[in-house]
This record gives sequence, structure tokens and C-alpha cells, in this order.
Amino acid sequence: MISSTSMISNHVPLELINSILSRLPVKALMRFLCVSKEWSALINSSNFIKKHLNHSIETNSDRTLILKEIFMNPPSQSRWFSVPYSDNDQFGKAVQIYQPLHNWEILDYCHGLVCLTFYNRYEEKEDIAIWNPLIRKCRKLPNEPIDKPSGSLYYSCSSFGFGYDPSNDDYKVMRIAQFFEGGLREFFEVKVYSLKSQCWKKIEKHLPIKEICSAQSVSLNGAFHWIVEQHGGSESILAFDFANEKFRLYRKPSNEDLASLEVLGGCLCFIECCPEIPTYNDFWLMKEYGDESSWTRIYKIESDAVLWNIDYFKPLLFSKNGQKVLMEGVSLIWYDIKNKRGKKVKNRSFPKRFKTATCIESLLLLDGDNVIDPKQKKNKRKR
Amino acid sequence: MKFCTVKQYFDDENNNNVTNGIATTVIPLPNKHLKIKANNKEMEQYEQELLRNVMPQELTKLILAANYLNFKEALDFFCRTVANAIQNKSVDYVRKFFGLESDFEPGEEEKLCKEFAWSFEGVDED
Repeated sequence: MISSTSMISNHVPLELINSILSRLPVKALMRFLCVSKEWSALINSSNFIKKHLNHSIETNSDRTLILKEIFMNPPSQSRWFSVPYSDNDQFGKAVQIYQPLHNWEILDYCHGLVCLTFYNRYEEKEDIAIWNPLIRKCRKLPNEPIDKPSGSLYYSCSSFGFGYDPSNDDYKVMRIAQFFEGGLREFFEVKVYSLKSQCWKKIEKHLPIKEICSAQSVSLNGAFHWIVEQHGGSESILAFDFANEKFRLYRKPSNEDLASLEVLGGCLCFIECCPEIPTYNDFWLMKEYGDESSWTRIYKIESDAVLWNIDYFKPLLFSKNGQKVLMEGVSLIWYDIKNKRGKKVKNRSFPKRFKTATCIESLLLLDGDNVIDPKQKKNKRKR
Repeated sequence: MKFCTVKQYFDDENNNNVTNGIATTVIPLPNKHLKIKANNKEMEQYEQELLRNVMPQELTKLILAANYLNFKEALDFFCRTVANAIQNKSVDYVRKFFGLESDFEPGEEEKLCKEFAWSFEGVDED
């Protein structure tokens, strides 16, 4: 009576199981790895991970903010939290989570992955790790030495970036180490790490610039972006495309010296920061990527709009109706663009001062190392 | 295309694949879905109603029917309903729901469950 093609039986074919599972939150999927060998193989497959990620990106509804406490004394006291952020712009309760590595900083985040860095003062090098907090998996990048050039150039600093490479369906970390010789010569060592191949590669390309001005880059449309100073003194935006490994320059929207780059609403965001009183932050979006004429001023925050003594507001995302912007100062603020007023997000479960990363449900790095909280109580497991 | 398939379905008398009860649920759905496509709240209410009135195992039959009828919107809707129904349930519940059995070696399943013990926290009582 029950044949393999009969629908009278309850047997749901794997392709339909696939459709159901691709809609589940990752916590459920990690648990359902125990259902059967077939389900375990399905959930671990790269096709499923991709399908599930695409669904998360399209629906863009159940997000989690990761908060890292800052300005703690000593710094090792910094706690990490996760906060649900729903479709109707509401924040849930912050729950403390176990950090994979002590006292690391958030560099950037993408598709549920958070890239962390730690400046090892004693060994004078930067340690880097990629973490998926929602599935508690982590991968520490192999240590990559900086190749010092010959001659009298001295090492100045390194600038980092983390982002998605759509042409290779890969996640990249980039490091540009800068060397100078008393204002006469400069040299750049460029290396890129691929999460897929798990190794570093040197980029032997010439950078058409004098100096990189930002400590970290922003990633958008398969490219990293920095504010740079060119020979001749003027500043521009430098973009490095992952696919063709080429550098190109874009014009800034304004000539204000103190500026910063972010990504907002899927566009490159240029923020002009006026340091003198009355201070302000002026926000521009490159509405059409690559088209310099599409730089559009979208809003300006005057110092009296927010009751804080902060000079820099990092924009995180637009509210659902696009009328407000969630900003990061020392805490979170909703800035109403039309009414030009900022309002602090009041949530008792939040720590006082923190930095954030935004995560969507994703199974990326499922093959990474487990992040195990040593203090985890041995709860009676519910099967 | 949807209605042609349904008609063909009922013309084929030897076809036992979709019981009348299920066909009744599936057919009215497209109109409701198309009418209230823009209203998420009403769809949520319909989903809740469905979950209340239809036994969990019947939901899998609805999915199979929608798949057979090549009815994409209904399939998406039912898949989402089932996903919402099982997302906070235990491994045992899910196995019963889909009529599955564990095929792990002894000790293999224990090892997996221990490795991801955190994912078992806060799960609904069976």
C-alpha cells in the first residue's frame, strides 16, 4: 500500500525537507543535525548553507546584534551580548554570550560572520579571527608575517578589511601594511586571506597613492574602500575589487579633512566630521555605486540634536520605513531624519557603552572550531 | 496553470494521491492568498488557524499535495507554516512529525548532541 511514490505515507521527499529547513533559525538547525544521518548531511552541505543564507538575506527580518562592552577597566572585563532585533525595529533582551577570544575588537561583519582582531603588543602583530556567534563557531586566521621591504623604510601601521567576494562566493580579509621613508618614499604590502582556501595571498599590485588614512576599510559590492591621500596632497576614495584585483579611485563628495567611510542601506556612505564647535556630522550616500555624480547628501547631525558629547556617529542601518537611522555613539541612537532629532535606545539589559555587529541567521563556518564556554553548566539535555 | 492541474486531478479517478479533505483546503487557498497577499497580519492569522485546526501530520500531506499540484505559493506558505511549527521542538518530536528514525551508530548521536548541547536549551516540552 505504501510505495515510494505514494503520498498516503508521511514520507516527505528530501527536496521538500530542504525547503522547510532553509526557513529555520540556525539554533534549530544545529539541534536537528541529530535527527538522522540524512539530515546531518543535508544541513552540512554547501548548497543548503547557501540556500539558507540567501533566504536570510532576502527576508532580512530576524537579526541579532552582537554588543561588545567598551571602556572597561581593565579591558579584559569587557562582556559580549546578543540582542534580537526584529522586523518592526524593536530590540529584545540582551543576553550575555561567551566571547571566543579574550578582549578582541570587532573589525567588521557580513552575512552572520564577525571578523575580530587583537593587537598583540608583545609580538607586535595583529591576530585575526572569524566568528559566527549564532552557531558558536570560530576560525583563527593563520599568522601571516609582514614582508618588510629592503632599505631604510620603516613600518608605520596596517589597515584591515573584511567582506564578501560575490564573484568567488568567498569571504576575504585584507591587510595593507604601510612603510615610509621620511616623507620621500612609501611602500605598501598587500595581502588577502580567503576563507574558502584558508590561506593568505600576496597582491603584487601598485597602489597609486601616498598614504591610507583610515584604519579599516569598508566592504561593498565585492570591493574594499579606504580614504587615501594622493601624491599632490588631495584625498580620494580607494577601491580594491576582489574579482579583478584592481585598484581604482573615486572622488570624495566634499573636501572636509576629517572624514570617514561606512556602508548604509547598501550604499557607500561618506561622513564629514567637523571637529570645531559647533560640531556636526554630514552624511552622503553614493546612490549609484561607481557613479561619482550620484553622491547625495542625505542628512546632517548638528551637535545639539543629540544630548551627547560625541564627535562621531557611526550609522548602522535604516529603520523599516527609512525615516530613521540607527546610529552607534557609545550606545545606540535612533536619529529621525525629518525631525532632526536623536533619541537614545533605552533598554535596561544593554551594557552602558558598547560597539555593535549585526548578524543574520547563517550557517557559514559550520566547519569551524566550536566555541565552548568552560562555565557552561551540564544541563539535563532535552532530546 | 494551477486550475488545469486541479481539474486534471479530479478527472483522474484512479488517483488516490490527494484525499478530498486536503484538496478542499488547498483549492480555496489560492484565492485567499492572492486577495490578502499584501496583508501579512491576515496571513499570520490564517496560519494560526491552520495550525489549530489541522493536525501536524496533516500539514505534511498539504505540502505533498501542493508540491504535486505544482502550486508554488501554497507550497511556500505550508513550508513556512511547518518551519514555524517545528522550530522550537525537540529532535524526537521532529522525527515523529516526519516519520523518521535515527540511523546513527550507538554513541554517534550522543556525541553530536553533546557537541551542540547549547542548541537544546529552551526547547518546547513534547
